[in-house]
Amino acid sequence: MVLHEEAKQTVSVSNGVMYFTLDYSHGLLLRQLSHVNSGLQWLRQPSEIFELRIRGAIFPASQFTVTDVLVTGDGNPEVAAFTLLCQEWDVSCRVSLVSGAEESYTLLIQMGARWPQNAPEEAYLRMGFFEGFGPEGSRWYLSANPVPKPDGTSAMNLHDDFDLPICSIAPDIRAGFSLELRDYSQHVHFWNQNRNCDLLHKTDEMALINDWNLIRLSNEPLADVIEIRFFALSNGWEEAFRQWKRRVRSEMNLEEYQRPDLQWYRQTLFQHFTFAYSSEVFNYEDGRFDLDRLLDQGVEFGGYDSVILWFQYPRLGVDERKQWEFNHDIPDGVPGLKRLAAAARARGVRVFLPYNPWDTRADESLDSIIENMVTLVRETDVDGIWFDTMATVPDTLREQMDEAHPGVVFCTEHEPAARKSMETITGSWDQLLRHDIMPEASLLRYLFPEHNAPVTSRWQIGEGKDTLIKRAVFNGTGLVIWQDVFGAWMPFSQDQRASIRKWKGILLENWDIYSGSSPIPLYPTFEGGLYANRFVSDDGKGAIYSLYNATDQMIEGPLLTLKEKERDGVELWRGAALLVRNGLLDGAVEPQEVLLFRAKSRA
Amino acid sequence: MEGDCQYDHGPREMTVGPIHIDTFPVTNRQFKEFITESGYSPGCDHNFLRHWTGDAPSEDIADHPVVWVSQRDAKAYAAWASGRLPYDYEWQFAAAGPEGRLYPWGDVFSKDRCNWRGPRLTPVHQYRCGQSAFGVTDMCGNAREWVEDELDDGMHRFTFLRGGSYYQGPHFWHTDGGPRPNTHHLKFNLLSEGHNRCGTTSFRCVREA
Repeated sequence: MVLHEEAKQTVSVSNGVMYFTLDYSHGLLLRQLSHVNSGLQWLRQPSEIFELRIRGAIFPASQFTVTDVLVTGDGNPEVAAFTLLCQEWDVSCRVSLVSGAEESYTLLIQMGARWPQNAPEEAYLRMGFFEGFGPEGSRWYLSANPVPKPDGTSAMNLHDDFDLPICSIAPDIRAGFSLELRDYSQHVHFWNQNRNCDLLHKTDEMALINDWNLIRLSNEPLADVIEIRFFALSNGWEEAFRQWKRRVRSEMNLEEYQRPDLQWYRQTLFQHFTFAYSSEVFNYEDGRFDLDRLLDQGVEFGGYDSVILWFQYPRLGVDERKQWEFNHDIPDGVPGLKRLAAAARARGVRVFLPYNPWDTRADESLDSIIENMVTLVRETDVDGIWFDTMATVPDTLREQMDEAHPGVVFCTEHEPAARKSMETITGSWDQLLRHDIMPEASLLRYLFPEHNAPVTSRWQIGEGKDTLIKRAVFNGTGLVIWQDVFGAWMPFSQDQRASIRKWKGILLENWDIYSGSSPIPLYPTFEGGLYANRFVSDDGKGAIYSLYNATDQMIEGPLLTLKEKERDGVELWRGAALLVRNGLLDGAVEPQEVLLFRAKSRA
Repeated sequence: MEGDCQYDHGPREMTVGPIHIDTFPVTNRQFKEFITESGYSPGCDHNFLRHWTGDAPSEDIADHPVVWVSQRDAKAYAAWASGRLPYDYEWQFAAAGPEGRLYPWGDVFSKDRCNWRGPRLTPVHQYRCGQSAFGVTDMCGNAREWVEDELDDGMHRFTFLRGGSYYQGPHFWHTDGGPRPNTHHLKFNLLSEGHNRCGTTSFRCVREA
C-alpha cells in the first residue's frame, strides 16, 4: 500500500509487515520504519537515508533539493521514487522504495554527477539511518561478522560468493529486520559503482554506521550505488538465515547433489590422505603398497571411508615427466592402481587419485588434460578425483567424465570458489591452515548440508589436533586423517584416535539429524563466549545442539532456548549433565569444551 | 618444498677419507661396460636405462652422465668398480674443498661453469672450468648424484641427491631443480625401484685410499 500525502509532503509504503514513511518537505528524510507484527519503531529518531561527503563537506539527503516524486500504488510493484539534486556539486540522486516478493521492500539509491571539467571527484557515502537503527537492546548480525569470537573476529567461516544478510534483531522477542544486499562485484570490488560490497564487508557495527564509503560517480547517468532488500523477521537470526538460505538456493541448480551415482560420497566422511612414500601404506620390504595395513590402522579412527593416494608431490619435477607418467611409474603402475581401488572397495573404502593443476606443460591443453584424466579413471576404476589447490572444475570435464565413467566424485582441496562451482563440485575440504579455528561455524556446512567437506589442517599438532576434532564435532562434519605431511610424521595421539572413533560413531548413529537439510549455525545462546549450532532431522523428530565454551571460565546456568516440544534429552559427547528447565537448556560447559545435546521431542 | 628435510644438519665434526673420488660422474658408456662385464640385471627393470636405444646408449649420449638408474643400480656399479658411493658429507667435501666453497669453483654462481638449464644433459667433461678445488668435475647442475646414505626414520626411507640438475620444473610446487650450491641436498623419499629411477639422477664412485 502506498499513501502519498501531498499536503504533508510525505509518502508511506507498507505491506503488512513493515511500514516506511518518507518526508520530502525538506530534502528527503526517513521519518519512520515500523515493524508491524511487534509494533516496534525500528528508527529511534527520524533519520537521513544517506549522507554524501565531497572534499570534506557533508551533504545529507535532507539538504538535497527534491526535484521529482513518483508514486505508483496501483501496479505491481509499488514504487515510491524521489529525485534529488545536490546543487553544490551537481550530484543527482534517485531514492526508490520498491515492493517485492515475500513481503519485502527494496531501497535503491542511484547517483550520478556532472563534475567540473568532467573530472570525477572522490565522493563518500554512509547510510545515515543505520545510526539509531533498532530499538534499545537490539543487536546487529553483520554479513562479514554475524557473531564475533571473543577476539572480535567472525565466528563464521564465510564465503565470498554467498553474502549473509545484515540483520538487526531485538533479542527477547526476536523481531527484527534482515537486510539482504547482493554483491555484484564478488572478487573485484574496487571499480564497481555499486557499493553494496562496502556494507557487506563491515566487521563491526561502528564501522557499518560511521564509515564513509568511497563511491565512484564517473558520469551523469544514474548508477546503482546501494540496493538493500528489507525483510521483517519474527523469529530472529534463525528465520533470517533460513529465509536467506532458501532464496540463495532457489537461484541455483543443485541437481548434481541428487544424482544417484554420486550419492555414495555423502556419507564418505572420514578421508585418509595417504602419502605414498610412507610406511603407512608402502611396504619397503616388497616394494609395494599395502592397502590392508593402511586400512587396518584406520580401525583405531573408526575406519577410513576413503583414501587419497598421493604420490606426485614432492617428487614431480625431479625430471621432465608429467603427472600422467607417474601413474605408470609407481609400484605396479596403472594395473596396480586398479587392483588397489577394487581391493579398497571390497573393504567398503573409496579411492581418490589426485590431479595437480600446477603440473601443466607447454604442450598440454584443457582438452588433453581432460582426456588424460578420463583415461586414467577409465583404466583404474577409481571412485573420485581430488583436485589439488583447486576451487573450480571445468564443466567439460564433468560432462566427459560422466560419459566415460559415471559415478566419479569431484572433490577440491579448497571450498568451491563460486556459485557455479558449488553446483558442479559435490565435495571439498574444510581446510584451515591457521590455528584459530574455534569457535567457528563453516557457512557452507549450513548453506549446503549436502556438500560433504571434512575438516583438515595438516600442520596442526598436539592441542591443534584436539581443536580440529572439536571443530568437526561442533559442526557435525567428518575429518581428513592426514598424519604424514610429505614426509613429516605427525600422528594423532591414542586419545585423539579414540575421540575420532567415538565421534564417527555419534555422527553415524545420528545421521538423520546431521544430514538434515536445515541446520542453523550460531544458534543464539544466553552467554557471551558460548556458541551453539542446531542440527535437526528432516522429519523434525530429532535435534542436536552442539555447544562450545570459548572462554576460560566454566559457563553454568541457562544456556539456550530449546524448541517448544524439546522437553528432555541427553548429552552425547562428554556425558555431561544437561537438563531441560522451562524450555531452556541448563547445565555447565567446561572451558574450551564441546558438548552435544540431543533433544527428545514430546508430542 | 612444503615442510623440510626433517634431518639433523649439524653442525657436527666429520672426518673424510682418505678416499679417492671419481673426477667425473659415471657415463652411459661406462655403465654399458659394467652391464656387459657383470651381466647386471636389476630385480625390477621398470624405467631402467629407459633413455637407451635397445641395450646400449646412442653414441651422442655415451659421455653423458648415466641416468635412469636407481640408488641400488648405482651401488651395484660401484661395487663392481671396487668402490662405493660417496656419503653425503664426503660428496660435500669433495665439492666444497677445504675452503668450504659455496660452489665447486668458488663462492659466486657462474652459469658458464655448469650445465645450469639444459635443455638436456651434457657430457661429463664439458665444464672442466667448473671443477672443485680437488679437480672433481660436473658437481653442479647437469645431473644430480646419488649418495651412499639410506636413512630410515621409522616411517620413511630416504636419501639425498646432490648438486642439482639442469632441469627445473616450471612451477614452484615442482621439485627444487636447477644447479644447487654445495651446501644443498635434496631429500629424496624412496619408493619402488622403478619410481626411484629418474632422468636427472646419476652418480660417481669413491674408493678408500
